[in-house]
Amino acid sequence: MERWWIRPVVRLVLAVALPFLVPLLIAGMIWAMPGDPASNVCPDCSGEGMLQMIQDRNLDQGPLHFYTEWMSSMVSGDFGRSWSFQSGEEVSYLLKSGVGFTLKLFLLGALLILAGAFLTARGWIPRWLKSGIRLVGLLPGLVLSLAAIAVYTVYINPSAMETTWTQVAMGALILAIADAALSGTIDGVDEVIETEGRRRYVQIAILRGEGTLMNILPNTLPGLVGQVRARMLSLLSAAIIIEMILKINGVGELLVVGALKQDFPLVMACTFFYVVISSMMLLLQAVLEIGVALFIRKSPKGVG
Amino acid sequence: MGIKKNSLLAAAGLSAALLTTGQSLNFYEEALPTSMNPLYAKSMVDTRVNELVFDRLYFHSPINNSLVSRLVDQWQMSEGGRAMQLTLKSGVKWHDGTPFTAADVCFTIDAMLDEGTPSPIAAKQREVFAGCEVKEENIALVRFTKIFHNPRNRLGFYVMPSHSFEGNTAISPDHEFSNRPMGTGPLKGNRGRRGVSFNAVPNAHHQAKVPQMSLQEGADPLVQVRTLQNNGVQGIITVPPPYRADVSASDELSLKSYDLRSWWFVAVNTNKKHLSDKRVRQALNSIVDRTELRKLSIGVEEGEQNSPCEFISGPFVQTSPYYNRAVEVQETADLDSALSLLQAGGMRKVGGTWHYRGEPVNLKIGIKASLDVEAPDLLSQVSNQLGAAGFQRQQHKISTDEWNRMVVTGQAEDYDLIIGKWSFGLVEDVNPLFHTRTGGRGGLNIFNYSSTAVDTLLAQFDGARTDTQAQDAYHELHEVLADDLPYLFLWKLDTKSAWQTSVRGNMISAYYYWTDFDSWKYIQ
Repeated sequence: MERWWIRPVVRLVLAVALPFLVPLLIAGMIWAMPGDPASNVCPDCSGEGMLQMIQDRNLDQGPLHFYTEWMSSMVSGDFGRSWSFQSGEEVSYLLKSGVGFTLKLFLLGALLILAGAFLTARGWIPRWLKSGIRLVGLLPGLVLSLAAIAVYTVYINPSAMETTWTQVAMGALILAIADAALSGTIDGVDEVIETEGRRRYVQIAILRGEGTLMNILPNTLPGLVGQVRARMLSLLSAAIIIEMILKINGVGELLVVGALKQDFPLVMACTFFYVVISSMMLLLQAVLEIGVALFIRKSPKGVG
Repeated sequence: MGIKKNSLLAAAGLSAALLTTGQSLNFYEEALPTSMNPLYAKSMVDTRVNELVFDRLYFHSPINNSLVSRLVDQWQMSEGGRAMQLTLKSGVKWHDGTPFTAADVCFTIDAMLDEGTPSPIAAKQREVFAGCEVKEENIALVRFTKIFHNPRNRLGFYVMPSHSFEGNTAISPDHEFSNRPMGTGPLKGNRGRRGVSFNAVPNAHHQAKVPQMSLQEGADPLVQVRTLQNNGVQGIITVPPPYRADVSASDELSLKSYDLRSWWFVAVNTNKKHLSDKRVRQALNSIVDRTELRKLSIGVEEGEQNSPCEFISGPFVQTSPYYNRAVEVQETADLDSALSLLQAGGMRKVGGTWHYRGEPVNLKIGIKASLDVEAPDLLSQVSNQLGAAGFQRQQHKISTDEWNRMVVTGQAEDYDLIIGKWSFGLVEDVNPLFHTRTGGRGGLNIFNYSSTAVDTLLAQFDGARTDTQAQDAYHELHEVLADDLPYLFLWKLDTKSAWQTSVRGNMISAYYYWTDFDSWKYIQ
């Protein structure tokens, strides 16, 4: 494998390009939708004021103009104002209010899954518990979320305007255990350890009195990181649904509501948030791959 | 183990109790407001929220129906009836403490007259107002475009603060005012993600006794009622008929009438070739069995006393002075008459299905989704009746957003029939519903219906100098519409609110709901 660096470099390029490409794609989609975007935003408006509003919203000169204006404002932290979800509210304010909840939900969920992976690798999860986790994992997140919000609304906090820690904790737990997220991780880690553990070099290492995990890790780390990234991205997607159902004031819910209400500044900003996270993960994966190749295996040619 | 479990349950119960009690009076609305700027109000929710935050110059007292004002001290006509001089009350302040002056009244009128304000509400007011002049700090001279027989009735707009817009009269819907408005009303409102929180602001003309309120979007009506019964919220603005018995059965809750003057209809797309013939529309009117529909969707049996649902034959509720009692209501189906009308209208039945010019007629029927809560399955029942009569059909639920964006703006032309509801205050102005869409008129004309006869009658109503002239014009309009049928008129359905009995003095005003909010008390 002479060209070990190709994959990490592709990832690096994607990580940099995605935050620019995805908003462009969305801007294109706004114009691809049926009807004229300018009149879609306020169909019953008319007169000079309507023309001014179209100009203010950068809808008067096509998708490229809309995109460049949005990007240049975004650089200075200005994401514009909400058109329809909370008309007149600054999108940056809405985004700020949602980022914390989404990150808490996501990180708590991810932490539970990573803890599951670690405990499995150490062999600390008993078989009966694994069976239990697999059983609960068969339930869809949607069903668990609906049940959770029913309990929350009727018994805990029926008139909540603000998101509470209870909602976030419920959401994170569902995120981790539903749809086989945790059980899939546990099974995956088990399988990797079992398969890799049968290799000759590991057997020899064990005979030498060394630990299994420390020997398999350098060989499996790049692959594992890739799997973790994919798992984290699917967690982020699932978090959107959970935010919607559990009424968590996160970015995912903003994205869905913004899309339903054709609030494009909001949609652009929320999508940008997710793209940045995705890019950061790609970046992390690329750096880890390079690091493992150069410093752990010390023989880049061997890395696939 | 048992003790531990009980302790946990007790702790959970205590936490729940602590969380659900507080100073705030919480209630469920049908939806969240689309905008809190009165110039961009689109729904009844928006109107109700505006009533809490702002003051109208003039309004009808919910107690004796007289025209009164909290802002105007004296008024007098001038310039031969084309202008009115208003002397404002002293001591009234905006929520930030800035004094309310004549400049604010003139600013609001100027903003409505400014072509740079792309508001459909403002566009309509441009037909009424010619300008406004600040005579003194507390005196404004309002000029009208013509002499109106009831000029003070025309001053029912919400007054907005000049200083919030720095005097710029071109008001955009994107201004932050739409989200954090400032008024002179009893409460200051702040829109959040899940609702609107209100805080009382004492003023010379308002002394609200409820210090805090919160509006939340009601979801499933059953959940709303259960939450109300558990005291999770203290009120629900609209309780659908099927759930009213549940509310009535509780000693802790009371049902309150809300006079919304709302009526239900099936709008017919007269621009579709197969529906352009009046006889076809009359046939549809004969196919629709209103008695059966009412029974199946609202649960009212034939001949039931005190029914919440009253049939109508035109665009007014039966208690309206504009309702023409000479026009008969079609209560049940008349399929024989429908058959002959359809044939006369060019329809042919082939293999049990109606065809028009050789093509089977497939009716695309929509309903405003929120109405499906009030009258469950109405869409399916209407569709079933048309299906049984030999029409192919497709059913669609229309979201509130789509309704505001497409239906009321006349852009839902792919539909054949749309089931909806209109609500009115004391002034039942149906001109925007039926006038040809031109020059800012016909702003709510769903299928861009156009009829010279109807436009003439609407102009007669607009130009009426006396109540009798206005009534005559609308009586005739009722008759013409009942014959031409751009709408199949269904019924008036009572609107009821439910409140905890701990909420006292809660007089509900017609249409605006919160006009007398100062008398509301919440005793915990």
